[in-house]
Amino acid sequence: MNKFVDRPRFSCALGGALFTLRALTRAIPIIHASAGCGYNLYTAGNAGAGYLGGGYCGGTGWSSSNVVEREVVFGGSDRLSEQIRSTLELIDGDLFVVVTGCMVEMIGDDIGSVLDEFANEDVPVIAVSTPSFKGNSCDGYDMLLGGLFSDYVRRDAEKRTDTVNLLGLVPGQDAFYKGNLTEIRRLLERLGLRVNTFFGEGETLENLKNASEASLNIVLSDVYGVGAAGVFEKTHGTPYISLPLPVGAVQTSQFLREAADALNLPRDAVERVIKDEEARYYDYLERIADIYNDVDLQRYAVVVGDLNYAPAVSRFVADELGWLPRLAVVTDDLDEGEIRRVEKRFTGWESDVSPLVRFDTDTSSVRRYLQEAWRPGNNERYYDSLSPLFLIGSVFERDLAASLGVPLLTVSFPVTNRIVLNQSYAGYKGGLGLTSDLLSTLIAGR
Amino acid sequence: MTIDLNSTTFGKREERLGSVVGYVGTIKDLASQSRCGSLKDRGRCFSQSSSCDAGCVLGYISHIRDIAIINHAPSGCTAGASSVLTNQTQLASKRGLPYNTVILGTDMNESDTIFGATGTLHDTILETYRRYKPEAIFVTTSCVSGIIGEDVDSVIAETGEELPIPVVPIHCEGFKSKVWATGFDAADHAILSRIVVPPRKKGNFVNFKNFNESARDDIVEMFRALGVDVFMIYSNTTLEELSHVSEALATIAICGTLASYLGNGLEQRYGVPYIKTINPLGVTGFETWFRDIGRVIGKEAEVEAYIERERALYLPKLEEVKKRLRGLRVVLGMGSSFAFQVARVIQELDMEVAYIASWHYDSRYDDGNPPPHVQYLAEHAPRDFDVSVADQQNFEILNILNRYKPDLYLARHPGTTVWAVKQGVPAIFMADEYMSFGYKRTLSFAYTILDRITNRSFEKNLSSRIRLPYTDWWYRQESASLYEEAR
Ligand code: SF4
Repeated sequence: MNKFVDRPRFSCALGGALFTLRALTRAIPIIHASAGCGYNLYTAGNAGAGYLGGGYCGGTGWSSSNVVEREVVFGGSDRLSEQIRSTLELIDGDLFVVVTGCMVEMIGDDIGSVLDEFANEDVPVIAVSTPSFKGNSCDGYDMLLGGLFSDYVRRDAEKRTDTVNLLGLVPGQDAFYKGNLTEIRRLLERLGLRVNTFFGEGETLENLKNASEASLNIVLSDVYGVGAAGVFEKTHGTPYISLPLPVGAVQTSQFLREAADALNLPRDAVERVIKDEEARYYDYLERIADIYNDVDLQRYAVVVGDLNYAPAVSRFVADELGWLPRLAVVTDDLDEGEIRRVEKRFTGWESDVSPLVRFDTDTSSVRRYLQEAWRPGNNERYYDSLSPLFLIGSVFERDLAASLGVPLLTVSFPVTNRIVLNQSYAGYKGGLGLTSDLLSTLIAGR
Repeated sequence: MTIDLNSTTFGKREERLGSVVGYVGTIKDLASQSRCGSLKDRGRCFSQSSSCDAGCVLGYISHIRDIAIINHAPSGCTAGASSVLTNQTQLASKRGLPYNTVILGTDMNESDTIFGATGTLHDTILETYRRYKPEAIFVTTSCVSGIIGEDVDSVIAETGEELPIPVVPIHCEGFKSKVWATGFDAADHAILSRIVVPPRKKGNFVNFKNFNESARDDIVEMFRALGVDVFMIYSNTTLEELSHVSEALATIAICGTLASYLGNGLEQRYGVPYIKTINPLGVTGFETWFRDIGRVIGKEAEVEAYIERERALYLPKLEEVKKRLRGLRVVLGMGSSFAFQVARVIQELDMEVAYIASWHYDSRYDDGNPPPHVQYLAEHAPRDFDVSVADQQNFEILNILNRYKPDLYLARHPGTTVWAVKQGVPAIFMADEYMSFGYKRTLSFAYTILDRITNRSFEKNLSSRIRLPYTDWWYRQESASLYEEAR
């Protein structure tokens, strides 16, 4: 059988679009779907993202056309038009975005002609088709951003060589998106760049509207955001590069060098920033050297996560903590090309270790791969055991961690056992944060 | 209305119970319109996301242990499944019981919506049985499976023959009913029609329909005093246990909205009496309800003895705490039954009901009678007060809170009290259906209210620093000004 998802690590395209809009200040979604969709997706997304909350108008606050049988039979265009009109009156926002659920996509409402009625409003009203049968939450992020890039971002902007946009971290799917974006932006700003992340601290819709000034889009992912970056290139002529999400000093310094090269920034200026950041970083990291060695905090590691986190975290524990990652399970549903791109991220590490890498959406498979990665004994009399082991994944790995009797840190969706605020796992700051979270788990009993 | 257990489908609440999701008026008007059956529903020209039948079913049926639920739907509809399962697992582990129920989705994709997915469903059912060996498989439908007209019943009939366990459809397409509580009936219908078997003998127990059984120990104790056992459903039950609910002495419930279908169905089909009084929240509610149970199962003397004991223990303390709550003004936003039952408790505690927003409203139950709690409140309220049926609509609630400026907002259903707090109104999310059940919990409910209003810093600080999405224009309108004319 082709698909059997026993515990979904992604919600649907509509869910991805809604949480992306949730992260965009004063952008108001108008859900064209049945009554339950918005709230169900909010419930799942809120908890899975370390309790992101509904924000300005989310959850029970989301405007939703709540189509019922009548619309399914006779079409929902009139209802949608009425809903947009009332939303404009009731909700104070700067951009209104109609997003669609599966059922209205199937009844074939002509949303374009409904939108024509609102072409002369003071605030823009646009629509993005986001049927959940067309993809998961990460696809929804791409669909939504693609729509915003073509229908909202200014077309007439002059390019500025010092301006870049950051893509590839899906709000909510990445529970740490805001901390991560803020940290990466901070670093790029140190290189003298102006950076739009759209969802970072203090950013507004102006950042999005003027994003076409950018001369480069940096996609912090091999898959997420790549589609939207393609739309951007086509509509605004800005090229993009895909770089992996950098976690910790080793990856972040490499990231800065690659980004700087792509922008033809002078190398010595970049090296100065790296040197300064690394000095601060190792000043902190040095602290753990004592406890690390006194109680032996080296661990084997198994990492289960999405395609952004699985390689980055595996590499971090290998290259920086000196751990031994034995297995990495990437939980996305990917095509051949995408798999090859993500696989590459597990090679070329400084530590020269490499885990067994598997691609699987099915939570129950992790245990099987673990046996594959580590065949205990093979009937030999003496053997290494995969111990002490640390599991890094999502809350879905809780049962596995409990049955193996090993600690678990949740970093990948769903992260329902943590409150995530401004923490970051990206950049230098993120590497220190991850170190602190991992090692705190190990010494919690002290 | 007679409940028909021979079909896989059943009537939605709008049809069976004259339920509405839009109304504005007063408690006395609502009571009299319910009696005359004249209540008309009103739509809205603005709406916000709320809940659907399918979500309601997944959350409720998954209380049963060791079954599999297959949601025949696109991935988004099943997105909440893992948090539902976490909740149920915790409820089971509190009682030290194993809980192995799984929720799976068929994750319908685009080609499924064109070519149908009965093949996928068929395979998923078989694979689910192979992997998990559940006691039964329930297949829930969705908007998408409903729109493409999937013949779920035939696939199920087919696979049901191949498998040694019941495979049962639950029809709960989200767009079908405006009243998501229809999902409770969908779940009950499946249980009544496919799981419950005729009684072998009369048992010495009552069925108690509830959600999370947090008061279980006290309730078991209570019924032990009457010399009968209590069987709490569906939380932590097995299918085998559930199949014998037809043998009960009576069916009772924490909530009429929750139990109307099962209670009346068991009464009609197997003659198990269903207790239909106001429900056991607060002192009056508890005593009315418990006395009626005593009458039906012939344990009047034991009931009176119990009441006397408990009264002596708790009434003096309740009188004390009432003094400190006197005059507090409360707005309530809850389901069709709880809204009015908790309002009664608020009045008992000498607080003032400023407003009730009922999520939906059933103008009668499956026995054909109007809900007793609304009649009771209309008769006993010190003065007529405003009521609306607000369908969990956040914009209406915030408008109401802004207008009535209560000391406290009480709500059930997650994601609603947060908005009151953001607007600066202290709120209590009454997640536990036993908050204010009987004497002891009415007392602790009173203390909870006291605690809540004692430190208002969180909502005070937050509300003064964040922005809410509604325009000033909206706060100047009447909360029901976006209703359409009654149809
Ligand atoms: S598509 Fe229908 S069944 Fe699925 S969540 Fe939305 S309203 Fe509920």
